[in-house]
Amino acid sequence: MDDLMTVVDWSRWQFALTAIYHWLFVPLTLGLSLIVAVMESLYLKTKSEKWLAATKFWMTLFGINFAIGVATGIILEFEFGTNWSNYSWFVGDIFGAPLAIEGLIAFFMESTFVAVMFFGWGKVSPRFHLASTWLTWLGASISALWILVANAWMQYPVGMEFDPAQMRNVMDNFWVLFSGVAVNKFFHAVFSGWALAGVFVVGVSAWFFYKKRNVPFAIRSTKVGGWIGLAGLLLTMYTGDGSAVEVTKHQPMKLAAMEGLYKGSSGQGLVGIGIVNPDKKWNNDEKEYLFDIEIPYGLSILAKHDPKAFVPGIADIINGIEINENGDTVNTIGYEERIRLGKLSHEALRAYDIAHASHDTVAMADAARELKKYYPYFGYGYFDSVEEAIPPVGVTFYSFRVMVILGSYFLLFFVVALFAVYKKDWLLRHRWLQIIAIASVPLMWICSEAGWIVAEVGRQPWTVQDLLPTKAAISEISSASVITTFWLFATVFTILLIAEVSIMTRQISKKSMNNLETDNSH
Amino acid sequence: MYFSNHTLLYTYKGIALWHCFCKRQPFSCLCRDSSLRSWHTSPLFHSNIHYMIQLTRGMAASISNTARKVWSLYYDGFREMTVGKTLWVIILIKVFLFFVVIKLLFFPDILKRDFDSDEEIANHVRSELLKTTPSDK
Repeated sequence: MDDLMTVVDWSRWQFALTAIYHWLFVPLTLGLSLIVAVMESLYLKTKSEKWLAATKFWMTLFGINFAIGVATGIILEFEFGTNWSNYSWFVGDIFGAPLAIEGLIAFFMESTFVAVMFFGWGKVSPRFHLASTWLTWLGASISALWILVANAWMQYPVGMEFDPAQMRNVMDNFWVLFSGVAVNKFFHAVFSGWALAGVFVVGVSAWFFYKKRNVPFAIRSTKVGGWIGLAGLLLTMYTGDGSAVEVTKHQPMKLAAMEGLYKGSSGQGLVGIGIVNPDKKWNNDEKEYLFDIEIPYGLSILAKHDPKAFVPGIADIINGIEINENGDTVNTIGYEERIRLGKLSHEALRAYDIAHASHDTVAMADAARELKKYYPYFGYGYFDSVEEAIPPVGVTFYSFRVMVILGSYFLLFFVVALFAVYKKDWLLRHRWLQIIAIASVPLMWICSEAGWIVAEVGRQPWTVQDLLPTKAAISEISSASVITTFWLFATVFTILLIAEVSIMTRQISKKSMNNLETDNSH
Repeated sequence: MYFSNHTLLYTYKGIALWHCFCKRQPFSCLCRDSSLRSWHTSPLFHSNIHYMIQLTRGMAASISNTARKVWSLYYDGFREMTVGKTLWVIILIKVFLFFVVIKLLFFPDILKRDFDSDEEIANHVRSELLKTTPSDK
């Protein structure tokens, strides 16, 4: 087999590339379907052709994004089976149900009602058509639920028992999959889609203002996009706070990496803007940051909703140090100890393997019992040193700041957009506002992708937290095939992205020439 | 012919309910039909059979009509597409590329391909997971 780290790194890059490209299309589907449904509801309520024209315009853009994005997620499942076969078997019993349900719902619900949505104008009753539009939104959101439940399980594996005979985690409690991690993650992702779609609608509408075309249509669209975007963003922030609390409980190392925090304290501040020191290691005395602006007590409030709470840093977690609410130092299991326990679990598995080969059922049972005792630390047995268990601090730290800073900017963005649209002369007169709004559209995608980078890079070195590190999850394949498919995907997805952007811009430009107050074509 | 068991009755009533649903008539239309309320005492059980046949024919016509409407929805929809035609070309090329080229040439399911049973897969994964411990490199 090729050098292990080459295969692992290329496989990780390939998965990251395909996941990032897939996530370019998904949040717009989640959010724009809602905006279209709301506009169609307003049409049905007011019977105004203006709302019908607006609905059809945005529905066309939704359709373009939906068509280009459909099936891009299937590549990720292909990669499970080829590049990550150990992982896919290890988690198969858990992943199987959510991914199968997602596939069924996506295929049947979305595809059925999307067809009625596009083809049903004038053929089905207005109420049935509206119901189809709402069901398309619902179908997309439910699809996202199952994927995010599966991903949340990787961050916080619960509801299963490991069976050494099958070598997989067997689900023993389906509903536990809907942990606090899963619920927060789902709503955080969906609401961020609303915010992204809101920015998209406001940005495209700003282009109409810039060109001085169909201004009333642009005002109408900005109002709907602005309010849904603002609601989505506020809810994203709320669920983001919830996610931070869950990460503190179940992935404290991820939180420490997000903050670049090595030595924690009570009343820990949050770095708003900073530059991490690349020479800082968990066991040296270098400064943590080359530059930082700290929000006092911010991290303690974010992590535990208590300004005086202790938040452990990377070194504290490695050394097993925690301070409880009474201010007492509590020793948890440090990483050296976890590695030792992990290696014991591996010895137990090895003993099971030998006993299995010689059909010694008594020895198999003894080994299985021993394995069960140390299984929570199974993944740590793959490490020789504690450094291997630390996520990439720089990438996680900066991605988190990109997400939060851009998210904060978009809060201002929606407030200003809504203020300006209710005073429409403002929008027509201040062209710099229009240009900023248009230029902000790609920034929202960067914000959204940064969030996923925090979640997935912060989870490293794990594919399944504490149980299976990335390097153990990989298949025995050559790096050449992974490199080939990496560049193949990069090419295909870039072509798809260019196609989407060009078709969308062409449609927007073409439609803008029509009178969108009455244009009912699509 | 005589309805001699409740299964037939409930089947009959079920068809009648479906008929009301398809015709968008209230279910109370069934109550007005005395032959449904007192089928087992009515001397007109031969007309009940006739009624059931009519209902079945009506239901078949409803289903056929619905199928025709669905077909028309898709047929007219695809025919009247503008930008949709370009999108469908992209979709079909993409699906072909993903499922035929990429999946078949580059992404075999390794475990399903190389092993015949779950037990063989489990043994393989066990040895793989034990192999990647640092001491085994």
